Amino acid sequence: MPAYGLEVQEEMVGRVLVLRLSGELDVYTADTFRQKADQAMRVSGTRAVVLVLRQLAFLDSTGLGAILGRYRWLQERGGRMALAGASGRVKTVLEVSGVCRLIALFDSERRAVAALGGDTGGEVA
Amino acid sequence: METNYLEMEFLSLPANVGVARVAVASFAAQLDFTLSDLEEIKVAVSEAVTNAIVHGYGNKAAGLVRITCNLYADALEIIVSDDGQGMADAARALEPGQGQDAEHLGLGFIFMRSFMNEVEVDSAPGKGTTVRLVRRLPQPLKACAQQN
Repeated sequence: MPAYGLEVQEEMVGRVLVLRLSGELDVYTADTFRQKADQAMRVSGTRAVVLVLRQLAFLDSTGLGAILGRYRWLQERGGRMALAGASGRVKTVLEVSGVCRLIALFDSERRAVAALGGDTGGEVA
Repeated sequence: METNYLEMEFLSLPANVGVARVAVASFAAQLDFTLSDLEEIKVAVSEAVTNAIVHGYGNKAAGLVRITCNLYADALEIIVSDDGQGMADAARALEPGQGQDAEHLGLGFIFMRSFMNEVEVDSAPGKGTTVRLVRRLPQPLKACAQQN
């Protein structure tokens, strides 16, 4: 995990694009997230995206806005987004903002992928 | 009476937001805040400094952001100020849903109010903005105090 910055790892699991975020998502790193997420969605052509937040150490309203921007883009095109693995303060930020009422939050990546119709390769953990 | 004092000033660059919140949280750790408390303070500082950079200075390295922290025996006071464009109705900024577009939702002050005990804003067009945040230590439960 970078000391201050953001890394975005991407993987296709069936038809679901999984983006694993590590580091911090704020005004300094939001553009990195936007660019990587938008490019991955464009290249994959998928309309089902799971954001894995387990390694995300910090999230504020600017980072949240960047996530919601991608969510709305998907929603306008009939797509779906799910969040997975948020804990601690990141989870509190999602709850206080009310984002959890818009975007489903799952404990595990596998459950989130399964909820979006992806192939989890067996039993859902 | 304050027990410690910190002042810092930095260029209005997004790269400095992380520096600011970590510095304030490290300073706050002199009091008996929990790790969860410190994480909440970091979010509030991040919001106030981001507002100064994005709204005060138009997301340009156009000026300076100042942070003053006063550490008291039972509370931390954080004052974030800029000399940016300011706003006509500071009270309105505290209301939910004052964002300018789909990605700026006006959640910054909601987080500040959720995570701090006091939030005050002083601003005027052309005069910059000052945000004052206070986080108090939790009061010990009386029952526990009596038992001890």
